[in-house]
Amino acid sequence: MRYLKTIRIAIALFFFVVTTALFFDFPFLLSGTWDDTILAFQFVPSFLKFIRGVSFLALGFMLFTVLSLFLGRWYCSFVCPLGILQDMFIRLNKFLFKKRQIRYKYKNSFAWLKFVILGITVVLLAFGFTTALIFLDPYSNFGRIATHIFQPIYLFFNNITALVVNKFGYYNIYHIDLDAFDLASFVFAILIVALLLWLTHKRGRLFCNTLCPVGALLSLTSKMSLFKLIVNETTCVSCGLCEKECKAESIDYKSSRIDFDRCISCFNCVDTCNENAISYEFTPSRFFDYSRQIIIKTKQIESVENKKEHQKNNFKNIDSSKRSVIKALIVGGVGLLGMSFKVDDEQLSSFKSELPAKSLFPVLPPGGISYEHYKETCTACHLCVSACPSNVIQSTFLEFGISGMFIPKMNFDVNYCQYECNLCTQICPTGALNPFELEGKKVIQIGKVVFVKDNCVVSQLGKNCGACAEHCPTTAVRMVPYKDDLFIPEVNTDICIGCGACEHPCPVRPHKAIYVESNLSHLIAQKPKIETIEQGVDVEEDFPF
Amino acid sequence: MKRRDFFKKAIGTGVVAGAGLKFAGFNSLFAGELTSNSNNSYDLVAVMGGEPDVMFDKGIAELGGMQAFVKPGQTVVVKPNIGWDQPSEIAANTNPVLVKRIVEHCFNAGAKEVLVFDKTCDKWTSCYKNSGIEDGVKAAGGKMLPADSDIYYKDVDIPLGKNLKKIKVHEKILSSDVFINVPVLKHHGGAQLSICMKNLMGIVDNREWWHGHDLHQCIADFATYSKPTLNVVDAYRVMLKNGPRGKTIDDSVIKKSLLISTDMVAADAAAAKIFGIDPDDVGHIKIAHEMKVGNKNLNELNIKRIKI
Repeated sequence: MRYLKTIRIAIALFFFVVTTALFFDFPFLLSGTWDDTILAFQFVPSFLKFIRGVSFLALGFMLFTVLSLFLGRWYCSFVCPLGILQDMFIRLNKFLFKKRQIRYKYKNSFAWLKFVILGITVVLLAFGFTTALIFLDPYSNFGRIATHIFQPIYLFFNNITALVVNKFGYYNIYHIDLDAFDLASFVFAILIVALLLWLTHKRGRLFCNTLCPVGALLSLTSKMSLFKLIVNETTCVSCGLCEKECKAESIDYKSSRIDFDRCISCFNCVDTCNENAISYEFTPSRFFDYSRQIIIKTKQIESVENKKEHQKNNFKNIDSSKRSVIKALIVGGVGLLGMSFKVDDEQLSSFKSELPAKSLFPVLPPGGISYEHYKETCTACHLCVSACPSNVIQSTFLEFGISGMFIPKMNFDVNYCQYECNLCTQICPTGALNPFELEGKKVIQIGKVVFVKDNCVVSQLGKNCGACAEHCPTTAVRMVPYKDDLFIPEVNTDICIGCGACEHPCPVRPHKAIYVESNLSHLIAQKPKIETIEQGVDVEEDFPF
Repeated sequence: MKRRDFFKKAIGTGVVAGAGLKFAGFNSLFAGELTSNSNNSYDLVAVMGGEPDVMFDKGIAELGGMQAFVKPGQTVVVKPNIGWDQPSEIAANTNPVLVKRIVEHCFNAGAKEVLVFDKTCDKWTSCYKNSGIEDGVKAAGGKMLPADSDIYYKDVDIPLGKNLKKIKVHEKILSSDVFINVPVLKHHGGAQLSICMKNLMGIVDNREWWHGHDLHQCIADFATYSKPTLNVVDAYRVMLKNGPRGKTIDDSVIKKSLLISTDMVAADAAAAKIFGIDPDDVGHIKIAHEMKVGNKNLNELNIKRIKI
């Protein structure tokens, strides 16, 4: 049955590569076409789509819950990107510490914790908060790791390549600015990666069996699984290899037992057993096998003592390696700080504006429907942040409150929403952004334009500007005669869609003269009136000079 | 006319060596024509009534063909207006047929490399693609360059500038031999009209600064520094309102016109007339004339008018 591990690795690699590719997809090969299918397999996003009424077909969540009743926690090892990332860390560990191979031991640490977290997650979701999922959902965490750690690394190599090939007159690979990057999200992603590196080094997939709400939920169902991993006690020679290999710390070789609720279905034990004593068997008789062997007290004491011993022995080693890790993190962090998007504080206008001009609430990306719907459905996976072609969708820190940390908003300091684009509405895996066809998206009003005349170049400087009207795709902002030969903006909020094309280029600082005030619920903008011009195509006409 | 076109093609496609021997007599005739044209040098060539590529063929021939501006082995930058993610019928961007034809002329004149770019307002990849310019340029053998990141821009001084003293300019403008400015004539909410001088805002970084420091003055200031080798104004379809982005096809009318000049102010003045307003009503044309960037007084210019 060794093929089980091979199959697992093949499928896991496939899902890992395609999921990561979605976050790197700059030429938009995948976004908007295959992303739906790929991300439909993700547990939490499809679950949210289901409970928030966006879609009844919630593939990932239904498939893997049902599957866990038959085969065990396949999601954790086959599909979960954070789980696969941990497996990669474990491989890295094996590669780096060849002499001190990790030996896992049967342990059921903090068995209660995952259920407490699951309970908190469910209660928060019921009250409309995704807070627990933002911090602990494996897919969302992976999304932020991909957006704020992997993407900068990818761009670094892309930009070096671009620099070289551009010198040789080849421009199909080009420089891409690091505009999706957000420092706070990066720091949090680094903390998660550091935690996972440490946990995988010490305790394998402990995250999945203590902190992960998906792991907690699936452990309830996989306990009843029809297929289970069984140790054949007649062929077992009690060598302990399986226990050493078990990332979930769920095998106790001495008593030949496997805690299938915590088992993540990686099938490493099947593969490692020289006697082929572990098999994946249809065992309906154990369907309700809830019994858990009581771990003998002495054993517990033994393990505690072992742990202490282990810690003592490794104290110095850990300390130095820890220090180097921290050092590397700080160096890397400082390096990335410089790459983070900076709001242009340069004095672009020859005077300083005085009246504050900023939306009271964050502006929702199109498709967010309402502040409530958006906030109770978004888990801040940042797929929209990394996919947005103009990078107007940016992470936030506390603008949606502590309960909504990292939920993205429209940041018009960075750019404006492209009129001919509806990518974010198409790719959102949780349904926080509802899908809209392009024509529909073009009339979604996410906010309304507000013109602050006393901040404007035209009224303050007495010079023409028009940057706002120039960019407006709907003529909601138009230049109308003012004094002398001056033209000043005039706004029409009925046809405004709140895309920020006026706010972004406004040169006045520190407060802009025109901005988008957020709509807490999307409205429908009126179509601008079309005034036709007489098409006097008169080729007989002579030159006017 | 026909014969000359034939020879230009023959020379341009690189059969100079073979054809030189065979048609030695005709070649000298052609050379004579060239000099006679440049003696007769026009300040402005205006063409009307044809398709964009046909109008350009006729117009550039009056100035001695592209070989009067592009020498063999030179690098050429062609800078159309590709500011918006709009299809060509909106006329927010330069006509792709015209841009393609200009690139072809450059290669026929022996250009080593023809580079095309614009610092766009909308997402640059969408603008390049949906304007039709990317396809045209690539079909003609030219290259589309990115211009969206500030890494491409280098500091330059503008000694004659009044407001604008320093600016960053795209490195390829600085390193190339020939710079052909190909704006589209259109209405502009901020600058009234967007023509040659306004089109140069697509080769600089940080143009927001211009908006905050008297846009018209800054446009004229930059024109004292940057002098394109040649300016070709696309007035085939002219956006009369809701510019520069345009909303629908109804914002524009078909004028079937084209202007070619080495003088940006003259071209802008003539284009303003085609648009239907007095050049003196456009701030930056007036200021640029006063700063001696060029001549806006069309009656003082030697203009060649061609009707097709």
